[in-house]
Amino acid sequence: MHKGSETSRRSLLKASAILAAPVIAAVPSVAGAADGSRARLARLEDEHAIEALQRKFLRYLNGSDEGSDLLASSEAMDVGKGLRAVSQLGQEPELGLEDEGQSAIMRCSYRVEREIELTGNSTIEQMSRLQGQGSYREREERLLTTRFVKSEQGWRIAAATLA
Amino acid sequence: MALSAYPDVPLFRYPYTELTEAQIAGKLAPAAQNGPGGKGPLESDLAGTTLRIVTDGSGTLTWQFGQRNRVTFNGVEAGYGALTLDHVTLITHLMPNSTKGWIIAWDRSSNLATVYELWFGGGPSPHMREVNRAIWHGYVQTATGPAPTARHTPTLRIEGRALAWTEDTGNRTIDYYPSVTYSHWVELDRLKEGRGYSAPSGYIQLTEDIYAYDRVEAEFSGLMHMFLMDMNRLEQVGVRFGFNGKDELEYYMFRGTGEWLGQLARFELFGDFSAEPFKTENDKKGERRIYRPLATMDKLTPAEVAEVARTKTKVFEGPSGMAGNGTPASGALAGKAFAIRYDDGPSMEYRFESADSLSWRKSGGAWTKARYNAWEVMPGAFIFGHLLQGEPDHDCHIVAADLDSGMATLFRGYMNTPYIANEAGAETYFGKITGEGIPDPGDRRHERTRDMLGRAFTWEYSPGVNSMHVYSTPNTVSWVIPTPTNQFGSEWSGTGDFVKIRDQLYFNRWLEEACNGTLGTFLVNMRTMHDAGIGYHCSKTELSLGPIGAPARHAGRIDVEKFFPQA
Repeated sequence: MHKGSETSRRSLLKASAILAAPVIAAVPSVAGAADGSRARLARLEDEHAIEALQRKFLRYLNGSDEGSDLLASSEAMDVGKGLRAVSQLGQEPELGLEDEGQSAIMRCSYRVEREIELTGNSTIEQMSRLQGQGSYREREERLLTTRFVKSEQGWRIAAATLA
Repeated sequence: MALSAYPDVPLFRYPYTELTEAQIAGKLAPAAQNGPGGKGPLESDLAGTTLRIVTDGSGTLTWQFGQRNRVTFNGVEAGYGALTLDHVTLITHLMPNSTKGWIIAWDRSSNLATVYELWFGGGPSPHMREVNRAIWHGYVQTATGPAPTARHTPTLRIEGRALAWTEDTGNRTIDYYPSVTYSHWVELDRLKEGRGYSAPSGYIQLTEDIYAYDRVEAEFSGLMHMFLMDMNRLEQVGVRFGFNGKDELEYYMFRGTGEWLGQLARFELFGDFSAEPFKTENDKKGERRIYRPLATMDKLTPAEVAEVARTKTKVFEGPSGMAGNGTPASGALAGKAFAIRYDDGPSMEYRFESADSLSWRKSGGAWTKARYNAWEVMPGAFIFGHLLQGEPDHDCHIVAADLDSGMATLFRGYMNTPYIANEAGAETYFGKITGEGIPDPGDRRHERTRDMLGRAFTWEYSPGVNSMHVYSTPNTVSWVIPTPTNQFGSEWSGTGDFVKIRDQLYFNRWLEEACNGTLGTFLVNMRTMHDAGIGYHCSKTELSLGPIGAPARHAGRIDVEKFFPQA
């Protein structure tokens, strides 16, 4: 069982602010404090790297050509069919580092837009198809869970699911 | 069923004969020689005129008019008829020894012309008896002066309008033009039910005043009804061409007068006057997008329906494209219990155990559990629906229950109609609710209403899934589908029923008969301009109850009340 520490972006920022001042003030004092600061600094760097990766991944989900290499494998992503757009709902992502900083999980709800093919036999679908409209857009709120893993090359996405 | 020129059953129930090309040619022959009929006198002042019409797409077409009603086209002499509307002359004739004909609209002021080429057989219509038509725009070639560059053009200027026409034949028709590619018409005299039907149509602007309109009664008789209409003078001249329900040729010209009934809103962007949303470079002659729903509908036997009901029932499972913009289902009935006694109908008792589970029993029978969904569309006024498992016709009950007044209305949906087993039928019952805290309405009941009559609402079900309803008669719902650029396009129609629940709160239903077999129901709140509804449908893949919900726009109201006197 992994023991993870969880934080939100807001608490993350708060931690950064708290850290910023003590780092300067505390470095000259004792070695133990310096080790603690280095650990916290390393954690912050990890969190920033993961956040940047997540932003890049969201751009990829929104149609950017760049980003397919973020994933450990093509099977690592399960976001459903017809995904066209993912947008923030104003909620802070929830990030947890696990395995002593070697993996992480981020969860956040997003507004998801999918292109749904009009395959049904309702009269509206039939008539829309007759008019050349083969699909419609469906919007829903979904939880994006992204699992990250740290390697020698840095952080990568091990798995991503929209549920 | 004995053949009838104008059946007393809905047109979608009438077994129109599949005429052969030889039968059609035989029936056209006398009219090709003699020209069209007409109640009033037709014009013959074209004698000595040669009309050379240069068309865009069909070359130069030449008609030479002789004495009386004789015309020669491509070396073949025929009988013609003509009527003039102000400065535009409408001419028609058939080609002897063929299944072809022509209609010409000649603007004598501008010398612009629009030619309708008509034929039976050879497609694109899949039905031999259905008139095919191709429309060619051009000008009349004269000895002097340059060729005009202007043309008559397809138009959206008529979209949304409605007129009542009275022809010199005595026939009265309400025409709704809610689309740029379809129209909806209500025959007030020849058909018995005062029901509206929809047909592929064309709209051509000739001048600021004068427009050419045609419809082909596709999927029914296949008759073509075409006329020029002067929107200022409210006059028409026209041609009726095709075979009625008794397979008799109707080929005559008419004059008529109109009454302007109003206009529904158009939804194109300001400045967008494009009017051919489906035209492509690869279109074949006469090809257009015609909705032929009966051909694509799954048609099941009662045994197949029973098997689907046994194995593939889906009640409010998952999201629906018909309710992407719907309101959330309500849990406010959970914990309640009441009974509804419908006049001349069933007595239903309900225990609502949760937000989506209830138990019902009918007329004192056994209690049965069912999944349901409910929506509180106005405070205290609900729509809820469930299937009645075990009923031989796989009934559903969709109920508008006003717990503040104690009144309820039931739309009972059922399968195994006499026509197609998986086509829903529907009945409407009015009743009273009895339960704790619910007032006794005494003899008061919800009532059918004319408040919807002539209105049109748009519905935005999901992004890209939109429609407009037109409540064209007291028993008709027509639905029109917009294109991505917001011209309205395909249109179809079915039986409707309309019940007033409260002021600005209406419980309505439509049936997609000979189409998809769906029963659509909705409770619309005209204060919030949102509805919640339930669709009931059976196909090869499922017997389903699913949500319907969309914000509405009131697109206008056509003033047709006087045409439907109440008994």
